[in-house]
Amino acid sequence: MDVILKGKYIIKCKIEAQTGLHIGEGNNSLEIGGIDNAVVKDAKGRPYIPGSSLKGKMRALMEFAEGKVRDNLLVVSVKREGRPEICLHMCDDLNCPVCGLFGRNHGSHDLKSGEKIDLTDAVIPTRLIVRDAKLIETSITEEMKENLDLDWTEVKFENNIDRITSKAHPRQSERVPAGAQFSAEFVVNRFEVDSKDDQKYYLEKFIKAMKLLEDDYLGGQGSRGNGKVKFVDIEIFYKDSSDYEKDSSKLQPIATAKSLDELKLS
Amino acid sequence: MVADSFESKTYEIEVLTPTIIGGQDKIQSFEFVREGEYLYFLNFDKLFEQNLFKDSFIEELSRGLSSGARDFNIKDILKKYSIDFKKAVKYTLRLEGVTSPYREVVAFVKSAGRFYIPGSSLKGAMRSSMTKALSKNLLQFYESALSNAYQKVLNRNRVDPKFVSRDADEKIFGTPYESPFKYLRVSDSSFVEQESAGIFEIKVLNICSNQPKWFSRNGNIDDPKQATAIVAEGLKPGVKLYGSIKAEKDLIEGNATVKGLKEKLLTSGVLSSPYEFVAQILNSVAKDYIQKEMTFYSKYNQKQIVSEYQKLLNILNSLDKNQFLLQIGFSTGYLSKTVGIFFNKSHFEKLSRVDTQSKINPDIFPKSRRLLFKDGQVWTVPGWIKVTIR
Repeated sequence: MDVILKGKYIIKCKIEAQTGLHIGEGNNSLEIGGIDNAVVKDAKGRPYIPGSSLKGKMRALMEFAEGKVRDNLLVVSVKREGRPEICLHMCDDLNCPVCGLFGRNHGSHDLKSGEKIDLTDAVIPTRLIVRDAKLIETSITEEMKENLDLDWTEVKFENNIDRITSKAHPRQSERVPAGAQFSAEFVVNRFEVDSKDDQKYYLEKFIKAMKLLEDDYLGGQGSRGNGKVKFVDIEIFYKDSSDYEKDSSKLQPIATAKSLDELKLS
Repeated sequence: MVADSFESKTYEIEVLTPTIIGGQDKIQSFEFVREGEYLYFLNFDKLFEQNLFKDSFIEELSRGLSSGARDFNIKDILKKYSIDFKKAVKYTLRLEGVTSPYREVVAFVKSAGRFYIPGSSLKGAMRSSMTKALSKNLLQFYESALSNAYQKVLNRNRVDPKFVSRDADEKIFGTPYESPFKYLRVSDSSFVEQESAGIFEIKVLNICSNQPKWFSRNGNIDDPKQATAIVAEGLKPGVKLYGSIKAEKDLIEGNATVKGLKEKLLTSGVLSSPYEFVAQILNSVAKDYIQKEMTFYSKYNQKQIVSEYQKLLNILNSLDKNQFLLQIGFSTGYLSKTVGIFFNKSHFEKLSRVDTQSKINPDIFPKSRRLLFKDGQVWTVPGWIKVTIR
């Protein structure tokens, strides 16, 4: 297979938490006095959105939206007691928008339907790169900070109420407060595969994934309030592969928009 | 799966009666100052910062706070040191007809100081309410769970009242991975301005020897004016909040791994969308509940509350298919949050042994109700909201 890098679309934007955001750190915290169910933070203690969380969620949404969630299209990623526990879509269709954008793994895999699939001949470099999104510190205003339980985050209490006795069982989780913004960057590679140019196909699919995420949630406890996000102040740049041979020059965006609703790719 | 099933809808909450979603905190009397009809909630960081060089002020304040003396009044100290507390205020709320004395205020849940309704509260209340529409054979799981807990108590085994219904919940709706409620998504609401919130007064109606009485620390009494008040931050009637909601087809229909609500709940008629299904269930539960409560309050001659419930019933009867009524939050009582509406004397006899912390009289349970007061008079019931989905 011949693969040529034609260029890179670079999408810069802010991710705004419209409701509290809880991306868990896996409960590995040994922090003394730390709270249960903490959020993931960087070395300076500031919450951030890992690229893996963003990419994983977008991939899952696209799998559903592109009709790829079927037993004969899902490979088993994790088994438990010999049964499929975690599955994701991977296939050998070179035009698959999900595998093309988010990537596929080498080798042979078990399909959920019981058959096997070998993807060795279908593997090309993953087009989408998702950077970790850093907190924009000024988005958490001084007024908000005065009311926060921790430096950048709040503690939300919830109750499970027993439906026979009405006794409450409280639990707590840490959240980044609504209004916080993160600085995000995505790269969509434009390839020419066996003389077929991607053009804007995968960029358009990526924008679809962004829209799907806005109507879904990011992080944990999303079905009961958390994780509604919005992409704002979007700028899309294009760097042709020939641009990398030039002296640095300031790139102009090919599209800008306050929100996804306003975004138009010419 | 069709593409439009990915779209969320918008919900609008209209507060019909004062609604209190309690945070974990109770705000103590030294944390606020009353002036006229307003409570000013103090920001201690600012107060200290602005008066850092008044050594004796800090000392006196610290002494007062640490002693916890009941006669400690922060307003007196602020006056003594000529401190304008309004320069160190977090927020201000109006007293909505509060006339009784109080030493603490139940805090409303907030996110970075802003009032809102958590998606978890709204979804939790919807789920609780829908549980009351379970078919009879499924409700029996709750009866069995209560009987099992009762047997454990008889066998001198420990029962935690926080987890009596857990097995039944799981038998009916499955584990969280198998639960149809994972296909119902409710976001936190938008924030509202401080003016949308106020301070409300609640008193406890208690039925004693078949007579309505009012709870006071000195015993149950006839005169509601002398009764002990619970004072809380709440949202005012008329306030509107917005958020997003998504009810997927699988919530109702189910799929290969999840059993949908359609086969679990009592429904009538053909419904065109999951939202209409949810609204119909919630309204039928609300109607049954309101009518039963009206019978209760009529029996004990609480005309004002009967008339308030009649207003709610009128609203309920005029709703569109995309609207429903729901009771949420603090002080909404045992029947609102549980399946106890289906229990009889023998169930409550068992419950009284399982939950020994609560006072349960099997002949009449629950025998108390929390009611809102305004200007010293019985006013309304807390927590009723109207939800419109668009």
